[in-house]
Formats: sequence, structure tokens, C-alpha cells
Amino acid sequence: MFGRLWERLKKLGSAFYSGKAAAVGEWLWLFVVASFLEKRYAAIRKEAWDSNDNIMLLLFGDYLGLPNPVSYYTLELLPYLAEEMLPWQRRIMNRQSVAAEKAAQYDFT
Amino acid sequence: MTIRPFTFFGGKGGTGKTTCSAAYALALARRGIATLLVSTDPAHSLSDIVDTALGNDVRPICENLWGLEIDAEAEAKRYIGEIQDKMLSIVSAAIVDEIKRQMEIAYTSPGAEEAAAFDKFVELMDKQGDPYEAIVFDTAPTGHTLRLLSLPEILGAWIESLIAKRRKSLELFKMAGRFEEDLMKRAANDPVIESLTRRQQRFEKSRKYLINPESSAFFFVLNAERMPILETSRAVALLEKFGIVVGGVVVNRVIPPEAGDFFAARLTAQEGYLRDIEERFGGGGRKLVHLPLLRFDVRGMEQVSEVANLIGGIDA
Repeated sequence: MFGRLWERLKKLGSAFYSGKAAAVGEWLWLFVVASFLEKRYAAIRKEAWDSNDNIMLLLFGDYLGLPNPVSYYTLELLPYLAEEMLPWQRRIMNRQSVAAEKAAQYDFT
Repeated sequence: MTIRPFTFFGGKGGTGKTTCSAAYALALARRGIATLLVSTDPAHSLSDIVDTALGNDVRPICENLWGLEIDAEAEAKRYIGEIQDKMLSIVSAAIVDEIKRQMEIAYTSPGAEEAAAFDKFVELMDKQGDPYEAIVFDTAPTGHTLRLLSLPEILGAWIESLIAKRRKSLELFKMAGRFEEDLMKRAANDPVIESLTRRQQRFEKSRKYLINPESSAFFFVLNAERMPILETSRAVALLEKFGIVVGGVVVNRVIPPEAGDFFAARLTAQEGYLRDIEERFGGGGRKLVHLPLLRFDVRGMEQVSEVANLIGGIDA
């Protein structure tokens, strides 16, 4: 592993000396993203999609049998959300284990 | 005297709401005010009283007076048709096909017709003063109407919480999408929030009209009998809880003293009830009007016109 990193660094060094600052910058940036940022953003992204699913449930819960006093009015949102509708239904009806879903929110590594 | 743009007549079934609203609308029309008479009762009887066939479009009854019977089913159909057209212009036809089944479910869900009637109702209130200076609503029996009038308050709060939830979710998308353009695009000008906000504003507006004593008043029609009195006092309490002004009470079918022996006993009972009505509803600037029991039931504009003489001053 260290061997490969050394190879990379040597390449980087030669890129630096030959004036390819942009390539070095990109390499550094990808390094930062992959080692520090990506994991955190993945957690937020998951949270965002989960909250989106919850909103779909609040808006169109009556399709799953949950009464909704404003179902007549949420109908007019359907044109904007129609594309999300079927995947959402598949997801929500296919939930296997709530415990596993909860566990997936935490980083055990 | 200023004319309120919206007047509602309500009460227990069979007490004479339709007659009273038709008579009051006619009284307004005779004062030269362009008046629209609207029935929100799913079981319409307005046509029968004014002796003109009315429908889901505004039709003239006589000078300065027009009539409309809200057809909730037709309104719901139109609304859903509009959504389907819009959907076809946004998403692919294959998805529309898949979604159609769901639209059918919403169409038959409880409350759909009520909501459609309410929408029409808000639409009419929005057109305030143009071209009708006054709109008189002949409402359905108490339960249905109370629900209809409390809709803006209940649904308004619900939609508000939906908007808040959606905002929060979009905020998350914004955070997650700092380095992803398509997530960013999701969060910027969201049509869902836009559409929900428009709805909320409409609810808010109609609520403002309803609770403003200068723009609307609710009149209860009742008979001098035990059950209508009890039901009306419950309904008055509920409307006032929602902030809707009860402008007065019409006591219909008051037995005149010259009614004869057969009614003698009822007449004494009625005196007690009339006192009760006076005590319960007389205060708070509410107007009380008595309409006598007539020899015939009211039918056609000529007879309505006679009642109009008696009821015309209720908004004074």
C-alpha cells in the first residue's frame, strides 16, 4: 500500500516540478474529499432523502391507507412529484427491518 | 347602511334556510344591489323555491339577482382534469398512466367533494364586488356547513406544517448538495413549496373574509321548538370559537295568535321557546327576526317577495 502511495507521490512531485499545478491541486482536493468529507456528506445525503420520503408520506399517505385531511389539495402537487412517486412506493412498502435502517445511520468503522 | 359582501344562512334541516336566503337576496336585489344567490347544499332546493332552473353556472333569476347551485362533483372533476393536463406537460405519458389509478383514489376519498365545494366558495369570495356586490349563501344543514367553514382553520394549519417540513428537507438537500449540482437544483425554487404556499394564502384570505364582521355574517334560521334551539346554540358556540360572526337569528314559522283553537296549546309552548331564543341569542348585537307561519309554502318569486319584506332589515 505504501509502495503505491510512494509511486503516486513521486508522480505528484514530477507533476509539481513540471508546472502542472492544476493537476496537483485536483489530487489534493480529491484526497481531502475522499478521506474527510465524503463520509460526512453521505450521512447528510441519506438524511435528506429520508426526510424526502417522510414528506411523500405526509403528502400521499392516503395511497397507503393513511387518512389525510388535505389529500384533495396535495393532488395538485402530483405533477411535480409524479416521477418520485413509484420509487417511493416501492421503497416504503419494502422496508425490511427498522433496526437495520437505524443502524445504517451510524458509522461503526 | 353598508352592505356586507357575504351573508350566510344556516340551521337545522327543514327550518326554511332556502326560503330565508332567497327572500333576503331578493330584498337586496330590490335595493338595487347586484346580488348572487348561491346554494352550497349538496341536495339543492334553490331552484324549487325561485322557480327557475339553476345549475353550476350563474344564471339570472330576476333584475339584479342571479343564482348558482354549486355542483361539487363537477367541480372536483374539473380540478382533476386540470391536474392531469398539467401532468402531461411535465412528466412522460408512461408515468401519467401509472399515476392515474392514484388520482382515482383521491377523487373518491372522503372530503373530496367538500373540498371542491369549498374551493368554489373561495373562488366566489375572491371575486368580491365584481360583478356581484353581495353574495348570499344558502348553506347545507348545520354539520356540513360548520365543517365547510372551519376548513380554512384546520387545513391551513396542516398545510403550514407541510411547508415547514418541506423547507427543512430542502435545507438538508442544500447541505448535502454542496458539491453536487443536481441536488442543489432540487433545493432551489421548489414548485411544491410554491404551490402549497399559494393554497395556504387562499385559506388565509377566505378566513380573513369569514372572521371580518364587515365582510361576512352568518344568520341562523330556526323554529320555535326545542331541538332547533339546542342545535342552533351549539352551532353558534362553535362558529364563534372559529371567530365567525353570527349576525342574527331568524325564527321561522312563528304561529300567529289568530291561529285558532288547534294551535292554542302550541302557542303557549311557543311563547316559552321565543323567550328562550331571546335569552340565548338576543345579546351581542345579534338581530332577531320573526317570520310568521304562512297559509301556504313559499314558492315562486312573488311569494318570496312577500317574505323579503319581512327579512330585508336583518342586516341593519
